[in-house]
Amino acid sequence: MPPFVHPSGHYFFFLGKAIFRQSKLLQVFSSGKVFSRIVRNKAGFGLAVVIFAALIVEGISLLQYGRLRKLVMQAAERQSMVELWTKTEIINHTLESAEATIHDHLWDLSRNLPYPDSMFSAARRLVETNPDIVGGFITFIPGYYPGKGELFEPYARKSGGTVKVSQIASADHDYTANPDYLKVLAEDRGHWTDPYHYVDESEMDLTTYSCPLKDGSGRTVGVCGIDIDLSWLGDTLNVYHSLPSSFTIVLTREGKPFAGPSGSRVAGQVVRLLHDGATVPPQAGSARAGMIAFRDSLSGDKALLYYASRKDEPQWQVAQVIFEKELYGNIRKNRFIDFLLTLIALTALFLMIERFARNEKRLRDAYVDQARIGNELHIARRIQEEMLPKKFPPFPDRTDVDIFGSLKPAREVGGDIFDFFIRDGKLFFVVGDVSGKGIPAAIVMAMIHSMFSLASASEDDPVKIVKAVNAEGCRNNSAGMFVTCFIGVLNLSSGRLRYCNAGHDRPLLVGCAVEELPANANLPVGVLPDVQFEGQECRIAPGTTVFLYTDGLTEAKDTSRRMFGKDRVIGILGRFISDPAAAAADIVSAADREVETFISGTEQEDDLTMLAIRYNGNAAREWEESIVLRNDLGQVKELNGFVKSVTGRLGIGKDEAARIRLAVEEVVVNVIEYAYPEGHDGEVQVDARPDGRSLVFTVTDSGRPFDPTKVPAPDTGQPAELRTPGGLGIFIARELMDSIEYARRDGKNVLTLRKGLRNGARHGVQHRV
Amino acid sequence: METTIQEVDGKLVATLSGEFDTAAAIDAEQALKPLLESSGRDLAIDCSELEYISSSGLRIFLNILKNARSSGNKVTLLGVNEVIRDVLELTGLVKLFELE
Repeated sequence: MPPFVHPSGHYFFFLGKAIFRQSKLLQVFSSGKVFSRIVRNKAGFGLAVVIFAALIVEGISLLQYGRLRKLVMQAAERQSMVELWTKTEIINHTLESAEATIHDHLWDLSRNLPYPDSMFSAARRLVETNPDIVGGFITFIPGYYPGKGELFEPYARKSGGTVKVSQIASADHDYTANPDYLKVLAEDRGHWTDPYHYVDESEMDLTTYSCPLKDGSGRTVGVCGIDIDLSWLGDTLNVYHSLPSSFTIVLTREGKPFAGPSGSRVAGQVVRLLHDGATVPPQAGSARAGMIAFRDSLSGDKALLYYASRKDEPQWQVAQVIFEKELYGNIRKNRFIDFLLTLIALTALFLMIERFARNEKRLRDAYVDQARIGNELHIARRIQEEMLPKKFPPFPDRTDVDIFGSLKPAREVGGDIFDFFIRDGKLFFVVGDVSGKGIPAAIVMAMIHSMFSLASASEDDPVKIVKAVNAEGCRNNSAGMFVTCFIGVLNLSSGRLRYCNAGHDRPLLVGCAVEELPANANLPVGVLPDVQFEGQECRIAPGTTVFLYTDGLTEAKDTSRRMFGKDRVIGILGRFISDPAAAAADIVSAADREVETFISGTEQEDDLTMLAIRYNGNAAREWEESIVLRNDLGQVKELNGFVKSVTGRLGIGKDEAARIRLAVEEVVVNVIEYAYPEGHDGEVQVDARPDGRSLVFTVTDSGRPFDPTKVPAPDTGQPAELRTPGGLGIFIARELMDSIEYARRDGKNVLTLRKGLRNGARHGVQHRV
Repeated sequence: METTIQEVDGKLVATLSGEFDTAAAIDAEQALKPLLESSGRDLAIDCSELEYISSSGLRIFLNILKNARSSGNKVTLLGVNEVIRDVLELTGLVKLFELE
């Protein structure tokens, strides 16, 4: 059998081919341009591949089918030939056994010729010895038995299970006219008749074999014959068929059918075919076989006709008809199933390609998107980095302040901010935290930061700055993002810190102890536009570090989800108490190290921001300024200029400076007026110096001893008319200064005026905006 | 210190601008003579541009007041700043003047 591919092999082969082809295509197409072009035209791509595959598959399928057909036909042919030979053999056997029977009896008959009555039993014996023989007869030449008349034909016949023997020759039945009788005598050899239909009590198809009967001397004395019943032949030959609708018929040499399946309707057509196809009847003594393809005239179906003829007389022909529909039926069905399965497979392939192309596109789009978002995040981070102070130390030439800040965002872009700058001898600083993370938080923070920069460019009051930032934060804030922040303004000469909190963690002061800066909580900015903010102020002693942070520090979590906590921060800061060498950077990196260790193993959840501001104050902490005045009231101008420069040096506020100036003026005027006697020139020296947290003026004169502190205070309740001008000045000075002390030293009056510049909220100076 | 005197709605108004310290008081006494000697009119001192006042200045104010009261008039101080107000309170003078 030639190699034959099982239908399922079909699919694996084709699938493998498709996959291979796809991967090859991928290689070719992964160069972006071609790929994207094809992918864009994804429908065309899928369709093209599928059509191509379909063509290939169908081509193979057709080839296979063609080959299969041929194979089936060859098999059918072989099968038919075998059947034909078998069936012919059946006929042969019957005929030959009949012939043999007669020839066996011929000698016996010949011996018994002298006994005419024995002919009857001879005839009987003919019939009885062979079941196929239904009739036997001996026709003698006319007048052979004178006692029996001219014509003598003993005839035995099977009928209803018995054998009837009789003499049937008569004037009506003159066998001498029978052509077969004459033929046998003429040719002197046996002869088979064509089958013929015989009607008696039953209907039969018979054929007769007759041969000459000779006597002892070889003279032909009669014709002996036997009748064979062929009625069974048609059914027997058609009992078995490889295909249901095929059938076998038997025809005479001349093409006359005499046996076939009951109700055969095609016989006529077959006969015609055989007749036409075989223009020459089979040669005597040679067998013939062949195949004719034709179309059934009734049904229009294509059919094949196989035929074979006997070699010897009678050269009957056995023919078998097979309908192609049945012959190829199975493979046709297979082919149909093939086709369906191919269709399904191709559809599946098409869908796979579609899905693949679509996925590729989606992945590609997603990748591009991702890259773009990644890019945007990257850019956003860059922008945010630009907003932060990056250079540390930021003011390397300054000794009065040391600043270090760090911001570690949790994701690419964070919601924390810190910033600082120096303007007019004041350090403005801010630390802030937006609710949320990522790009939205960064955008809000950028807005807040720019508002801070804008407001603090012209405004010194942190409460007003916070208010401006709040106004901006509440504007266009549909996302409802709020920002906690802490804004401070530190006067670098005086150490005076004004600040305003907005819902943020209170900064820690690291000096001789670690303490929290007392501050109002207030609301975060961006919550309500009209909310009140309350600020405070205090004095930062030199050597103190202000430590600001966001909750990313205190709420940093370790692997067990425990928080870092404020106590830990205080503990770390405590290491730097009273440490003159502790730099801001040291404090921040110590805290940073601790947090990193704490959270190791987990991802940083929130932005971590720290800003340390170490205030060193002015380098020359100890100084003294002096002025020497003549005892002339006109010198008050010079005195006031002097006091102004002293208070300015310490960054004392306008009103406070005015009060100090007034007090000093009153005291000095008093001295000028009364220390020296009328007309005498004298000097008054005024010294000023900071002393701890106070400002101290010392007024020295070498006039007569005079203690102004002893002057009684005027009665401020008196009505105008009774008010005396005197005593007012000293009274005012005493009220405005913390203390005025008098001492007489080395022949000089020494008045010490002291004004404390305290840390902490000053009495009566709660500042509301 | 600059001193200008005007008549506004029948009142004599002195506008002081600058600092009324002891040195300035010497000249101010002269400049404010019209008020110190006025009679029968209400007086007003515009202090909105006055940044500073010492006891010598207060003394002059007191004299102006005494003079005005003697003719049954009052003296109004206009636009007094915080520091000056503090001082007026300290010295009890705040009760003697009208403040606006």
